[in-house]
Amino acid sequence: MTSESSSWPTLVVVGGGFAGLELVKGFEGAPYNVLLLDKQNHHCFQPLLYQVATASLASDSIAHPFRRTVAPMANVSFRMAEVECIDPEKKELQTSIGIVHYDLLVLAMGSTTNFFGNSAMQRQAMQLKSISQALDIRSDLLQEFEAALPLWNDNEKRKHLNFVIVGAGPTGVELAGALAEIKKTVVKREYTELDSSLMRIILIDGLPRVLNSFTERSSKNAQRYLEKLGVEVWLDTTVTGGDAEGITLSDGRTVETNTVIWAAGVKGVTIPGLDAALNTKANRFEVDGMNALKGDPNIFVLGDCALMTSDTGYPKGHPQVATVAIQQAELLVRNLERKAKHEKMLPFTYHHKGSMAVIGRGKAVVDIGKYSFGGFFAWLLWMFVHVMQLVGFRNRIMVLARWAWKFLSWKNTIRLIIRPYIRQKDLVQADRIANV
Amino acid sequence: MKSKAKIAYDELPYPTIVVVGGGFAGLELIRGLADTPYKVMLLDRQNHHCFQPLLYQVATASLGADNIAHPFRRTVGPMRNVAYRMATVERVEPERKVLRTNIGEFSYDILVLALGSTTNFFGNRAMETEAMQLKTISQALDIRSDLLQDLEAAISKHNEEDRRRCLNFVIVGAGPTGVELAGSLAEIKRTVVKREYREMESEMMRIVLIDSNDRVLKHFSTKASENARNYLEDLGVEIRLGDRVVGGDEDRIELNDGSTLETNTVIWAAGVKGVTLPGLESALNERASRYEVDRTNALKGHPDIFVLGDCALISEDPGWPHGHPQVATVAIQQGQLLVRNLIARSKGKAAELFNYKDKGSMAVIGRRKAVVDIGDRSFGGTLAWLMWMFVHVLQLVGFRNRMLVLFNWAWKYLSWKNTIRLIIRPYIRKNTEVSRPFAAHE
Repeated sequence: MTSESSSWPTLVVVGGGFAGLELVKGFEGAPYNVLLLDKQNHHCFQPLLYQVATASLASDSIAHPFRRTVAPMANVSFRMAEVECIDPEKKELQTSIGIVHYDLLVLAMGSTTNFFGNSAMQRQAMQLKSISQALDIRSDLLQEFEAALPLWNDNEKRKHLNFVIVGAGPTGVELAGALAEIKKTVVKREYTELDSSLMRIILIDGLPRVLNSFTERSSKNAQRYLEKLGVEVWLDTTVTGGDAEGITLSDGRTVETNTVIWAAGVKGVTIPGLDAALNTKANRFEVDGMNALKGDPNIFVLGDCALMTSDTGYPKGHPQVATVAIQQAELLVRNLERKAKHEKMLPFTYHHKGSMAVIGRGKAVVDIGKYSFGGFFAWLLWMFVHVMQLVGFRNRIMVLARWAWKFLSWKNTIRLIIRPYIRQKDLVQADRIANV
Repeated sequence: MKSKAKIAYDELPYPTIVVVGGGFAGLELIRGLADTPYKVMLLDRQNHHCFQPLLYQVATASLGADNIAHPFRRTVGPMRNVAYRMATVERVEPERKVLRTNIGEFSYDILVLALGSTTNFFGNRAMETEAMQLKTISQALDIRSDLLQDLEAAISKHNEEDRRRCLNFVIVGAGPTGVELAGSLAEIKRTVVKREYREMESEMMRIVLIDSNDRVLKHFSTKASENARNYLEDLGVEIRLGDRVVGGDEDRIELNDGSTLETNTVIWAAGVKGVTLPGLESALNERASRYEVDRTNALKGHPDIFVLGDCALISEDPGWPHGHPQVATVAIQQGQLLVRNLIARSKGKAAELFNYKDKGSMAVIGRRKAVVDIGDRSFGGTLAWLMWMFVHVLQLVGFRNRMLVLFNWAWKYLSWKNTIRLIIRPYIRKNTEVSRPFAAHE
């Protein structure tokens, strides 16, 4: 390490998501040796993952290598490593590349898919939390179209062309809208031998409305947009079981399908070693108002994997969204500066800036403060906000260019199956083929 | 309206041509046969055409995978008489005029095989297990991941020997692919590794290019070979000519002079062989792994089967007694000729014979360093580099891809960086624990 000789304390940051990246940027030039650890070599802009899954954006437009961010920062290093456990007494992390010592530790591991104990879905359903998973969905979607087309029997085709999305939060809604647009454009024009009306997009949620965390007005608008695009919205319905043939619902209905995408919830990612402070129900680490882990002032936890109950207005903890993570990281940067000056640390108060979700071309919903609106203006605002939040100038240009291209060509252009998606049940057979 | 036109595809009263493989030859053929009195069915295992000459730029993080790929359906979409199926052909049954595939049987009146080529290890078992290849996008992404994984692994190794093993990159075969790859890696060493892996001595990274011939780019003029060699050595590539890799394992390779080289990464670019299908053994030249065809590309003994490009062997073209080189221009010219010949055939006219026009060769080594042979002339430097870029952008399929490639090249030129340094799916060697691939998905 270039600054190893200095007497600065070592700050280890685990996870380079929204919180981790904000933190690292905030500590540039501060009197700490900062070490960022992540199991990926790049930051992923998760809000646009669904566009990778639906062939609108390339994976490289929403990812940014950590080394590019860290390179100009003299006091920050990066290591690609997986943290296996934490020893808070020794102040050590055990990782895939060896022991890492810390003076201060920041955990910002984010979240992973929560199946709420539904083991059938855990086996069958696809997820959308990483670029690799998004590419799997893209491959699977295109593979289903290709598989359906040469079949003679409409009933056999249906199984390939029923796409079920579980969970009508922003991810589920955005994914359903994007699939519905693919049906209207790509399938209609490029799978001309296929009757595009056989393709169904079914959006299922256990709650009585879509976008439950939004205003009722936005929920209503979103549902109207979805239904206009041909998405079937099934509310007050849960998935009770499933197998390779399809899924079973709480009202007894069954849907024959190959593709179920689970977007019904997330849970915090945790690391063994801090079990005393872990809230196992929420799968989040309990922290005080300064994001310090309960019982260990040298460890801070940020974002999706932190559970703070002291913020008035959020007694059950904050929503697991990017803005919370970013704001907590910003505050932690300031608080550690104050701590160095022996000033009192400030407690976190979440400033909810609003919510937005896009359903399709010219169709989005936005809630800001007391305002709630939809339509074309909301769509433009959604695009503007997302492009601005992207990491890297090049990525912004690429995303803008691709959106412009899509707007003009009415096509999701990246319809490539680079690596076919192989379901677990087909893996044995695939191994056999690969070995021939 | 269009769906009406496509339903009519089944009812077209024309003879059926089935084309297997949508590489350079197959795609050229499809485009030429649009709106001719044939019913054309394109079969390919992939759903996209891949522009192979730029694969090495995907492998070295300069271009995105989607920049060099083009979905077949986008090409075929507007063509009334052409359909596409994603399928793997399992067997040809020439007596029944049927292809057996993973999605059922296809009958043909005329069959065109344009299967391309695959890596040829010339029986070197050790390399077949250990070495990486560069013939598909998936393999290119594996190389990109592996390269970045090795750099990340090296920086956290404390032992110098381990670090060196991660940082020795060996390329076998100094044809255009090997040379271009070596040049790109050398540039990565000088820019990315130097600037972004500061805690590591970038000089520890070695790029070793091995070839059993006495010069690099042996199909080029001697002047071009010399230029290429000078450029590579300027960039710090170690060139070992007259050497062969005789063995190796996961940690090293062994050369014919008895020496060994510790390395994690060997990329095999030493040769290709034609892809073949079961069922046409009588016309197969097994040594070359190519089908013997006459000068109209008709398969020996099968006037209704044509074979194009890398997997075809014409030995009657004067000047090419051992067959044509397995390069894109041959495939494209054969595809163009077959279009003309098939149209002539539908009008009852005679077929023309294939006559390869060698338009020249070019290879790029790095920033403003390329070599070009055209006719009797051979030159290098900035002009050759510009020409190389111009020719490649024009050959790409799709306007959007051309724009993206130009943009990415301009960005790279100005930023001095290979920008797409992403490990999306880690490369896992065949010998490491089997459970790992699925862990990556969790």
